[in-house]
Amino acid sequence: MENPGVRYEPLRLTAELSLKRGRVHEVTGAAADSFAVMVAAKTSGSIVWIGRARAVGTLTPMALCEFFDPARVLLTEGSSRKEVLWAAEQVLRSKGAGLTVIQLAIGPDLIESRRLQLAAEQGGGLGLILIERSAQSSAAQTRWHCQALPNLNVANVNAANANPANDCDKWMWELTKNKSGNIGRWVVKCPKIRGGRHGATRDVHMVAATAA
Amino acid sequence: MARRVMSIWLPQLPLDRRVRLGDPRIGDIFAITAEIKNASRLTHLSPLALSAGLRPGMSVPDARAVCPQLMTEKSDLAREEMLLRALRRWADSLSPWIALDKPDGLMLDVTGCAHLFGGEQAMAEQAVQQFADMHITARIGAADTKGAAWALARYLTGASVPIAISKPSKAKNDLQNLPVEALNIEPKISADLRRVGLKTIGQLYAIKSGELARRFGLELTKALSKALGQAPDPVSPMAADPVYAARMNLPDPIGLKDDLAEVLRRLTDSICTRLEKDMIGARQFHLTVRCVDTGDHVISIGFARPCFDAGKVKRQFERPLDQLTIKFGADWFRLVADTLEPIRERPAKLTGIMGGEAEAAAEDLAQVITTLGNRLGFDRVRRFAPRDSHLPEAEFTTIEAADSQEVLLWKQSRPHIGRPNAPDSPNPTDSQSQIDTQRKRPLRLFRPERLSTLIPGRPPKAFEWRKARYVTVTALGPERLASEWWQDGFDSLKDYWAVETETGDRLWLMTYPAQQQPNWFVTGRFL
Repeated sequence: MENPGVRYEPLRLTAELSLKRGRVHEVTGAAADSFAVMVAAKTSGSIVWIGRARAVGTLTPMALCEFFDPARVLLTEGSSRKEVLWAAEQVLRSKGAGLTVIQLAIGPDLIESRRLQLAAEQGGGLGLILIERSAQSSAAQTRWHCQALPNLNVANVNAANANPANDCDKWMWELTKNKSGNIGRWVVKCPKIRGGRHGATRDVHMVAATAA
Repeated sequence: MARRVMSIWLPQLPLDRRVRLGDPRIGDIFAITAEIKNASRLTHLSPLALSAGLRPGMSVPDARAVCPQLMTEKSDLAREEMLLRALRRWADSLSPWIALDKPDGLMLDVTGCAHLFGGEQAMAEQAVQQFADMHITARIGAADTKGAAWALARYLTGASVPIAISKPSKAKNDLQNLPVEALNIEPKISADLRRVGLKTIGQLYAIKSGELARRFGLELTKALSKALGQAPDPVSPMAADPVYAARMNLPDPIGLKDDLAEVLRRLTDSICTRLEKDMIGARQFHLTVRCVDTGDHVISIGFARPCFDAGKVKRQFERPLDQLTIKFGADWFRLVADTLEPIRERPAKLTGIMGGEAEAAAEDLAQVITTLGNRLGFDRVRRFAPRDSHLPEAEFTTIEAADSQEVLLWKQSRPHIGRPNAPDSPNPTDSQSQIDTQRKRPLRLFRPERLSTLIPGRPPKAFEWRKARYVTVTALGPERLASEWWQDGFDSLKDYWAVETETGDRLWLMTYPAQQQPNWFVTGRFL
């Protein structure tokens, strides 16, 4: 059977890790935002952020500035879960958005996620579902669990002050479900000071958790 | 054939506009005001206001002194002109040769038209009647020249006799008893004429035009000879504004989905071909459906980009039209294109530079914004826009995505005080890095949420927020921000601390430093 998702180029996060386009991916955990922001930084085109007012209304462009141009973001508020899912389907189906971020309190069920999945296959974009509370069994391609990691012990605060380049924000990204491929854990680091050649955006480093 | 000109004067146009809007104040002591000679003055008065002793030209304070219960409304010149333009379009039914006579009149060349209505008298009567049906007061004068018709309409008509017609080549006769102001000359000249005892136009006939010109200027003699037909003064017609609206009357009410779709198809096709021909796109379309039992229902849709594509318009109307309850059918439909903007076709070269794909994606996105906006409301599809403020909650705002045509410029990096220039420079001084991290802003900004302190400290060493316990490991701060001095409550200071907890959560705490018993709030979560 032909698999329509295959014909889209996957989004490469690191050499070994990529996210399939034309698919919907789920992200849980307190630091799910970090996943969405880092992935968004790797994409081009518009980013449509869909959710209830309390989820979308708290986003600030000042923090996004450090990773990508906030003018790319299109905020969409739905007044109910149904409206949010409807909007997500519309956006995924069109080819207008490079990334669609959907914020839900409870993850989509099989029917809902299948609908989103079909829409994503049609549009060829990338869908991320940020789940605040609990996920359900769904048709998503992958599921990630993201947690912030404490980057400093009390002991090396002073050391970090001495050399801010060592001062990083850290997260643990855990791939808990993958329909095609392995699962795994990654430690993601991002220096607090903007680095990179141009100093415009912050560099992101991903290291497999075993290596970190 | 001798030229015949008809002048239509609408003496109460601003008042009539309020009547048409259903303003209930018209029946009371009410006046329209305008800024004249550095004062707000009455220009048009309701009948009751006139009988209360008010007169046009009075300043508003004077009028209030005479009649304290006077209600006023500023004149809206733009809207009044729009109404006048609409009436000009309507006047096409009288003559094809029409000019606007701003601010409150129309000038029609009716040569060879009158016999279609059964003579000029019948034509004028019909026009006055039709204006009255539209709740508009009209006075009409007809003569051989523009000037004469203008004078007759304004100075020979009254509320009881709204029509004044001068027979062909009798203008000189009919004008002679009118005051000199009827020549439509500057008030200064007419005042000069009155001062020397020349009160009526007839008195001017006896004076040689050379002498008149020497004493009062060429303008007077020009006006006079134009009014008497000795100098040419043609009506220069203005084309009616194009209307992008279509209407459909049906002999019997319809209610079936397919029938409605067919009506919609015909209406959109008719409008969209006109729009396309003129290269104009509309951002809004309004469809009025008149049901036989429940009256008018107006369905509106919007577009993120100006659009003249009939297919898109139909698609956006499908859903709201489907939701409309039509019990006994509808027999009258009208579709209007609103918020018109010219569409510029991009040269092929530029499209090539932009990349056909990027352009297609932008077009797709506009389509999505349209779809989302029409269902969720355009106020719920938004974009960030920068604002100039030092307060975290005022540093940005959001604007409707459908309206944001211009490219918003975000500073690539916010002004970080003392940020090291070379990112790889090994040892920026402590103070520099301190300030740099202090200026960091959270990804999520909450309305301050009270936390309960478990182990006090500055900031608290351990606290509970949203039913979870947090233990502070590091804290950066305070960043003290005062509110903007030009706002109320300027004296409120806020201290912000960036706190990292044991579990790795990075929160932004806030407190009011002036308080005796410190209350702590969570205002944000860093990435």
